[in-house]
Amino acid sequence: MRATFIILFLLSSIQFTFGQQLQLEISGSANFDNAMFTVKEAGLDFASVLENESSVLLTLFQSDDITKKNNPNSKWRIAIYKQDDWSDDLLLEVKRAGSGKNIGNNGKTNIHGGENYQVIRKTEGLFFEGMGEIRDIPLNLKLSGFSVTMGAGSHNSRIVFTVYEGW
Amino acid sequence: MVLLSMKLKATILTLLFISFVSFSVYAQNSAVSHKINVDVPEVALLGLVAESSKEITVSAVAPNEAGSAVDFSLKNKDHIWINYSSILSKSTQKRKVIATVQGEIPAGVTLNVQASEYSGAGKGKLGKSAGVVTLSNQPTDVIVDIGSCFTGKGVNNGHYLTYQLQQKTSSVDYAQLSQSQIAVNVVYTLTDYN
Repeated sequence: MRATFIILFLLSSIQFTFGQQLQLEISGSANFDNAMFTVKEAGLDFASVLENESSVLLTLFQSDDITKKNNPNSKWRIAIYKQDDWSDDLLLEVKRAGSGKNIGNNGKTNIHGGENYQVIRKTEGLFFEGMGEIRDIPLNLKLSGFSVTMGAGSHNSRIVFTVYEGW
Repeated sequence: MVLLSMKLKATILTLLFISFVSFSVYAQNSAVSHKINVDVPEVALLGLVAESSKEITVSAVAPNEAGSAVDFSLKNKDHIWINYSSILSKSTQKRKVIATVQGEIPAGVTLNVQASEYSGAGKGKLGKSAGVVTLSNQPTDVIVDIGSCFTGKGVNNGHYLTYQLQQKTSSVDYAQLSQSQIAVNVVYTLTDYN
């Protein structure tokens, strides 16, 4: 029986070590509305690139208090992909426009990568990496490939961010 | 002793299984998604670009020989180009460019205009010339079948306009001709088909 309890204890410990609950939250909006799609003069197409600046904020935190206390500087990486039926001519790009703020202290955040625009594809790709809990990481979005010739209408896309443990 | 050992093994295996299931649940990665809305509005923009001046002079030439009629065959050499950008919500929708005269056209003649077929750096469903049309105070189609497109900006993009005066054919109309210099405005509008 003693052996059973020892095994149970060991397994529980393993769970606490691996069972980190890194969570992502997203706030803000990034819409490319009518006001951005202006034709400056008769005979012209839309501007080739439309940019939406720092209106989307990403926050990464630990939902598990025990892990938060025992491993406050856990490493993580964020991957990104999109879901839509857009043609390949339409490009949606994203970049990290800042480093956010540490949750619980005023020190410099440990975050790297994703500072240059990268095309968001339908298959998942690495966006950026970091350590610990960080809030309000600003993101910029850029749209290109839209043309007058495509006609009026609504085009929707869904960007999915996923956090993974480790680098 | 053997029975106890069997029970212990079963307990361990059960715990291992439960632990594995728990681990699988805890090891899920957190994902969030964000919706991006892109709304492209309808647009109808038209502009006129002159090669030299937006004032076009169309004259009749006096005959060289006694007994000959006044020659109205002269066309304007300096062209005005029509540029447009058009965005429609349905591919079946169409637009057209119409022209309306503001002012009085001299008696005995008609003022005709012809838009060229499209040329330039534009893209999309560009319009077609309606051919030679007679202008009046009522709207007249000049370019038809315009979809979602842009012509390109400036001269050599879009459709150029050629104006010509034409003498009315009847002798009564010829009798109404008089020496005069009259200015009229021609207003072009990009509009939806009704």
